[in-house]
Amino acid sequence: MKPSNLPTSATIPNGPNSEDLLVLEGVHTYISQFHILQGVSMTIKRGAATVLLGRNGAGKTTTLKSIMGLTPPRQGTISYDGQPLVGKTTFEIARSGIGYVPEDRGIFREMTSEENLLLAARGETTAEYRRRLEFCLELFPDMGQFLRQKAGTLSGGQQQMVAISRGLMTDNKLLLIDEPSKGLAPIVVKAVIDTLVKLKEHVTILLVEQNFTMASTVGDYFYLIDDGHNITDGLMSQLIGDKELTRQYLGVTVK
Amino acid sequence: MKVAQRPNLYLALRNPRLLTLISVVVGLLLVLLYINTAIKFPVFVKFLINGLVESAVLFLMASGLSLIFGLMDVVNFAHGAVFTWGGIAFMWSFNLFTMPPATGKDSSSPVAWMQMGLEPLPATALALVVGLVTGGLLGAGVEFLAIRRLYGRPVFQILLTLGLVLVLDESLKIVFSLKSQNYDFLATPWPTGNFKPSSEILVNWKSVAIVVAGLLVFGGVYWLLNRTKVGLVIRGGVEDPQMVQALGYNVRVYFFGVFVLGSVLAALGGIAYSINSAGGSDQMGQFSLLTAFVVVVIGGLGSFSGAAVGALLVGIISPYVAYHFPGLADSFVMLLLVLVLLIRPQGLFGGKKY
Repeated sequence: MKPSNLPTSATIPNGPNSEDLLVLEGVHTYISQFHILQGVSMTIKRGAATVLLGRNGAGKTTTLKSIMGLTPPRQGTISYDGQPLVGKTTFEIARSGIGYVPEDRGIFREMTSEENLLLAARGETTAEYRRRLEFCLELFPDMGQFLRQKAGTLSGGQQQMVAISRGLMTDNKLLLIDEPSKGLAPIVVKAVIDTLVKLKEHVTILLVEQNFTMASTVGDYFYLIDDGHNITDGLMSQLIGDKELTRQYLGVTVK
Repeated sequence: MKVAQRPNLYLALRNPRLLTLISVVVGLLLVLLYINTAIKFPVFVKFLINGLVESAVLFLMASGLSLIFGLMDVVNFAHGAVFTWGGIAFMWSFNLFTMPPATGKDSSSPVAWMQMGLEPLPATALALVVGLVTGGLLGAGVEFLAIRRLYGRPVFQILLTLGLVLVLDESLKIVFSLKSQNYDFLATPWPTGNFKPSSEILVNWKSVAIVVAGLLVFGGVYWLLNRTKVGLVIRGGVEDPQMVQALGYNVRVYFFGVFVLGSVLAALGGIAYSINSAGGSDQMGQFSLLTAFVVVVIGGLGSFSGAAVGALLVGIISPYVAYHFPGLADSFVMLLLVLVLLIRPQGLFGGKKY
């Protein structure tokens, strides 16, 4: 079923050179009969990290899946770099330059780490693959030790390194990262935070995160959603100052 | 501080898959050695050669099934019908290609142009193409029109493919205008003749060709799955199709390709079967399908190498069992299945998805 209000290219707000890389407008997404996203709108700025916040079940993961076309929206528009995404299939969306690091990492457990990366380097030449692998190894020096190990036998932190690296194996302009801290030891979370901060210089990031330390360290902007609706958004520094908002919607107390 | 290193052999032996392989090989050797003492040497070798050819035919059938059923989890009962179609299409076109050009009344037949009076070698080569293309087209049609909508729904797959078996088996008789159940070659396909490695042993060249075909298919598919990017996409697609899509691959196209490849291999199995037994029947696929299912389960679902080991096991032991215990000839395969499943419910090489 196609939504009747698909935009024509003339109405798309973000052109290829605009400051806004990804724009969601009034996105409604259903999972079977459940109305999960009830009109979510967001603007992701090029070259910055935006954090999507909200309680469990607020619709954060569904927002990322709607962008990827894994749970296609029934209503609303999503445009990426001037191109409409609604109505495209997942593989077309990925090919337009969006990397996806899902919740629970989505690693291919039966393959080695290296095979995971090779698979992600879709259509790249061997030289280009090597160059990108080198870049990832600079980012995660430990990864060199388990490249030939079956990914299913890796620890959560190691798998997270492979999952993020996978998003860097092609020329992605935008990375969607879903709860990278989930199930990781605090010291590993800290390492992931450091990596994401470094990564911000190379790629635009849309991060879903419950861990407030990670969210506030990595994020430049934030969007807060609840029950599939936008609550508020703005600069990360404003949110850190707003004790009432963080307590009410995130259940955290900022010291 | 120095730590005493365990010998590498010890570590290697702890690998369960290697251990399985070693015990299968040792067990097979022991059985064969025992049988060797019971029958004369030339008979033993003759049975071994027959067993290898049988294994190769079985493997060709089972390899396609291993891809479609083991790897992609599609229960495809129509696989046997594709086997029959491939074999009959091969024999039918071979017969036509070797016939002298039609004259008079016959020349109005729509297939009269195929009567070229070819020698066995070119006729076999052309007929091989006809048989394989028939299998590929059938597979493509079945996937595109039916299976595509039924991935992950085994009950629907069983119902649908069982129905397809009826349709394909009956339409086979119409398309190739079969007059009886059996269908024969009018000339002998290439390779003909035989050679004698010793005075008492005779080996047919066609047996050699079939075994070589089996080895080539094994090597080719193993290479495709384990050493190429296409193989990576297929293995990834089996494990997590959504994630493969999210990496920018159109998984459907790859699954379609695997299904067609599996069907081409089924047709190749039918062709090898017809060459090996110098003829075929409109039921040959149904008989082979059951054994092939058993082979795939013995080898372990999803393990391509397992299917090869299973085919060798069944193919090589069968002739000896049939010789010593004729009453067990038909039930032996099932007994072996029960035995393997009792010891290793996941199959010999199960758990590894390629």
